[in-house]
Amino acid sequence: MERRNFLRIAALGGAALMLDGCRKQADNTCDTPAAPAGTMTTRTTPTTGDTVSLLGFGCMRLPTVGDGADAPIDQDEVNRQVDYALAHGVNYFDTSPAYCRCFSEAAMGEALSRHPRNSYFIATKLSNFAPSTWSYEESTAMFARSLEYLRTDYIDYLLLHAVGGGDDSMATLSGRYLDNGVLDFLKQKRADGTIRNLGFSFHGDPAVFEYLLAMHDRGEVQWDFVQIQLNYVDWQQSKKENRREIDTDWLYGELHRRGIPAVIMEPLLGGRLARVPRAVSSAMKARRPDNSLASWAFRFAGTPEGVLTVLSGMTSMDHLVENVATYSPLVPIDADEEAFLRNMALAIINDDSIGCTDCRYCMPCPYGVNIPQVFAHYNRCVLDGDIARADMPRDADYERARQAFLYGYDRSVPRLRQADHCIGCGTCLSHCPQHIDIPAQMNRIATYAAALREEAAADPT
Amino acid sequence: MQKSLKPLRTVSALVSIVALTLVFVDITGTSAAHLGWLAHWQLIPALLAVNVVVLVVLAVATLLFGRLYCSVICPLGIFQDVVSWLRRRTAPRRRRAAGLFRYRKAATGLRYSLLALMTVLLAAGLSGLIATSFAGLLDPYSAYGRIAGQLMVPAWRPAFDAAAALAAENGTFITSGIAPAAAFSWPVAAVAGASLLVVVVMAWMWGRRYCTDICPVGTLLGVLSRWSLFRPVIDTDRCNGCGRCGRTCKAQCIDTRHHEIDMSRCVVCMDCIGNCTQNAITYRLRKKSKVPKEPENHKDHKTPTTPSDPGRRSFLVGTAIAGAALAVSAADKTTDGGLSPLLAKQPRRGLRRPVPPGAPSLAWLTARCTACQLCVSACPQGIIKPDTSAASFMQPRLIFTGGYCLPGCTRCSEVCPTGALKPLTADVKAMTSIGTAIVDADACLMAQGVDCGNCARRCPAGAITIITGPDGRRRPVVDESRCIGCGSCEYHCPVGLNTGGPSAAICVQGRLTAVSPL
Repeated sequence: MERRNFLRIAALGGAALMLDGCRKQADNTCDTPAAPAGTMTTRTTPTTGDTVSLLGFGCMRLPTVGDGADAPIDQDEVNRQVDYALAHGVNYFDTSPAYCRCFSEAAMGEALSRHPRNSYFIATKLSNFAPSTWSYEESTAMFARSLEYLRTDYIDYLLLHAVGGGDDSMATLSGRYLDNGVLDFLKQKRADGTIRNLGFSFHGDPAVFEYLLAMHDRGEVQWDFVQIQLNYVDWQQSKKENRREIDTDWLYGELHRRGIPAVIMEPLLGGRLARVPRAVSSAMKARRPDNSLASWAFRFAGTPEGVLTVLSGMTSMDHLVENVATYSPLVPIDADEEAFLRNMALAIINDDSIGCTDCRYCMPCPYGVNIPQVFAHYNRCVLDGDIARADMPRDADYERARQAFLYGYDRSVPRLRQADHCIGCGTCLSHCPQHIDIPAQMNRIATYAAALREEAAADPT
Repeated sequence: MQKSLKPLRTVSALVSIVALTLVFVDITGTSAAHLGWLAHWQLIPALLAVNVVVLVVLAVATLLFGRLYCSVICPLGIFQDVVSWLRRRTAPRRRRAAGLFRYRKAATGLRYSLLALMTVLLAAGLSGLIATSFAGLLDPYSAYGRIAGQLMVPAWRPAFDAAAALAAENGTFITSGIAPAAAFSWPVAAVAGASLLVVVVMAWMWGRRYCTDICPVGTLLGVLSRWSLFRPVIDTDRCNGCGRCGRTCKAQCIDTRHHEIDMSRCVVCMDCIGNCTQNAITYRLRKKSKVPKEPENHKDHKTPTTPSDPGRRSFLVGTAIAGAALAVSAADKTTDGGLSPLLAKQPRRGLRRPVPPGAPSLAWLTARCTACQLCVSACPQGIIKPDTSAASFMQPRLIFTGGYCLPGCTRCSEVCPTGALKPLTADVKAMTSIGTAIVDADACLMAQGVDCGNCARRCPAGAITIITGPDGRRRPVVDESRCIGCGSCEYHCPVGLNTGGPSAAICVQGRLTAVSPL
């Protein structure tokens, strides 16, 4: 306790000195992100004894140069973020061959190889998108490419990517990993040390989850870790009946019972929990005025002791700094706060927004629709209360909502990529880890937008 | 009192040109809704619309006050005054003091020839021989409209968008929520640019010479203003013969030697009143005895460049560019993120393009539209584009590759000043059919087994259904009695945009005569 206090005082003193330095020197000094107050909370794996930071660096949304879907990765910014992360105790980096239109692994390889290999853990995956990549040859080639791009000769954490998805999830699992000998290949790689920990990331069908854990119980394969989605909204949502959605409580419980560490993804639900309805936002700020909305979600995800690390895809240095601070050290969610978040989750679920996490697995849409951006704009309007429902009186609020929706829609999504160009082909459906009925939602938004456009054209202000 | 006439004219003119320009360039549509009536006071549009009230008021006003129209109503006239003012401001002091102009005799032969030409063009247009837009080349209002719509809007759009974005960040929306596609068209912009060049050069060199020698509207009004009741009159007792009024008259119509002002050319700008150091010129009732004689007919050797025929033949060449036919592979998806490319969808060749709703028929529009481009600017969807064919040069057509005609929107018919588009109520508009969708069943995605049906899903009239045809294939069919030709199907068809092409598999053929519920 004394030591912690000492550290805190020392850190504060350092920060004060830095601030002082800022005042005296050029502005540049202030552009360097501040150091967190304490040290990063860590967890230890049972199998390899790795000391892993509670904050994991997600590499799915790396910063880009400029906006737009084709914008190249900003390697300099990636390097800066990786340097900051490592300097502040973050040592788990989660990428995949599919991320960032296949550029994530190479970018991370470049950034990480500037540091000693034993100072960080790399997690990557055998991705499963197209059946053309499912064969044994393609799979081993994919693994070899991962090693090459990441500039390493071993992978610390290797995952079967997004199991539980697909039109027929069991058939997808078997076809992708089991029947073709790919799992045996991975087990052999673990035996020879090329893979240190083997696990899977899970989305969707609980039957697949049970099947894989049953394999573990029978000793057919040992899962060193499993990646699941966990956040306070899903935790609450799982209490509802008849949902195909992930029952987070149960998933975590099954893993914890077996002593398998859980790697957490979507702690923020793709950013949705960093931007919540106004009422939720005020309630959170009333309790912890100086903490960000996102910090609640991170604290929640990091609190269970069976959680190894919480992944966050941080597009900007600001997010990274903030999340490092949240976990340095973790202030666990207590029972009272858990009850509070349960209520907040209800308020979030009950609004009209669409559960898109912007993972972009659905993309590219063959018909050019920018699915995540359409949903993001719609959700933004829902959260701001800018939805003009047909049953509303045509007053100033309605007018404002209409303008806000249309104005932002045409500017955030080019017209030819808007919801009305969804033909309902359903290609996206099996890719969505959140099981959103994308064509139905697109149709709903398209109809809504068309009605608003027509009204706006008939009634210029 | 006399000295305040010029400021009065200046202020009225500035208000007038700013308001009318806003109707063209305010891409929120707000100005068009509130100030659109201004366009209805323009002479040639009023003539085509047989707007008797406007014509009588303009004629009476001209008989009373002279060519006031040219000074405070006609945007092209006011624009020339602005150019002329700039010229004066930038001239060296000595040159300015000496006066930039000198009296010239009227170019009678030229001006009446052009008036006759305009009459012939209008007559030919109204009788359906050629498109009335060729007469519109000589109409000052339409020329200004093309300059505003084609040249000013693209120039100021980035500034507008920046302002709108700034306002939106602060929670206010200075658009009506609609971002129209740019209605820019190279051929029309070239015509507008040519008009602009001629007008600016002439105004810079010779003040209002375009108005006195070329503009048929000016010539027509000059026939009336010759007899106008009020006019500037030179008091020969006070005049010291300095000639200053003649050297500063933009219309170059003050014959200082004979103390006469040619009222057929005078645009009653009132400049001479203020410029006279002897206060010898006053705007007042004309003297009964001194009706000015018709100026002598003489040959004008210097023929000014005419603004007509700016090489339009070169524009008749179609501009269709075949988009690269990039096949989109839906199945083989190995990454997350990214966007599939969009192709440049083209209107289908060989199909008649619909005219904007409000036009009772294609012939009606061709005969009455002077191609001022006001409907093009006003369309919130940006789907009205000027045509490039000789048969209806610069006149509006609907192109559904970037949007469709919202059934409840009546903006274009509200703003049209010539009556080429008649006003429609939203209810009538939603039921007025301007075209019929035609399905190319072989190009349709459903022929390849894709269960698309987006045309039917997005059809606001409920005119499209997906059936299983006699050959067992599923395909859309169009109920031509319900189809209103809005183009929603063509716009929403993935063929030409995402796959295949270059045109949609369902395209609208314009009707020769609109089918109205009335």
